[in-house]
Amino acid sequence: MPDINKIFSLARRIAEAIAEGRIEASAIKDMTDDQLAEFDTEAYQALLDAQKHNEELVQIDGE
Amino acid sequence: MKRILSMILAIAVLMTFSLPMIGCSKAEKTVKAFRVKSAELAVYGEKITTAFGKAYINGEISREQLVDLNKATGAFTKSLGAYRDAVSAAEKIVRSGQPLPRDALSVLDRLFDTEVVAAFAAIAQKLGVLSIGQSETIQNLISGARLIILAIRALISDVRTEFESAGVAYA
Repeated sequence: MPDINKIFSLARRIAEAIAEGRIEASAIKDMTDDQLAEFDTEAYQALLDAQKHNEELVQIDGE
Repeated sequence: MKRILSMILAIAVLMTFSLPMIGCSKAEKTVKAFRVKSAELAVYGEKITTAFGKAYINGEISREQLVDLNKATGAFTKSLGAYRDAVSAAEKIVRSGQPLPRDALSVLDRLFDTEVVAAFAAIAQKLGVLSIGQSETIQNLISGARLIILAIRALISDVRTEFESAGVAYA
């Protein structure tokens, strides 16, 4: 059973590096199917969290 | 002669059963490529969305402008979710050993063009009239996302070509 915490940590580091242009997407392509599934889920959850955060920002200031 | 015919028959039988397996491997690789691009797009989407929040906190955009941007990023997030679900459905099919059906590609194509691309275009359009749209960080993120969108379009086009040249469900 792969270490989920390690996979998530890896996913976050790769996501940061890609967005900052430090590494190419080849790092993702080299992932196993399980790692890719975890990475994709993590990336999408991060997007959901960012969206929720921005929506909360305007709600707080709109009160 | 009989031995040669037996060998030919054996090879034909072997190829009949092995071609779908080879095909399934290719289909799995294709669906994996869709998944890779989905993940990359989510990464850029998160960075863009976060940048908007930071711009608001830093006073670079107003509350109304963030509300407007939130609508655009919300639509993008939702559309990417639907696209991911379609990729998951395609993954289940090919991992069960079945070939990738043509209508699975049609669903991906339609979702991607009418929803994901459209939602991203709305974000870019709104940024066009905001000063934060000129920031190097945001321009780099938008450019990065655009490249991924182009890559997905190319992938869909490649798979469509495979279907058309094969004339059967892609395997």
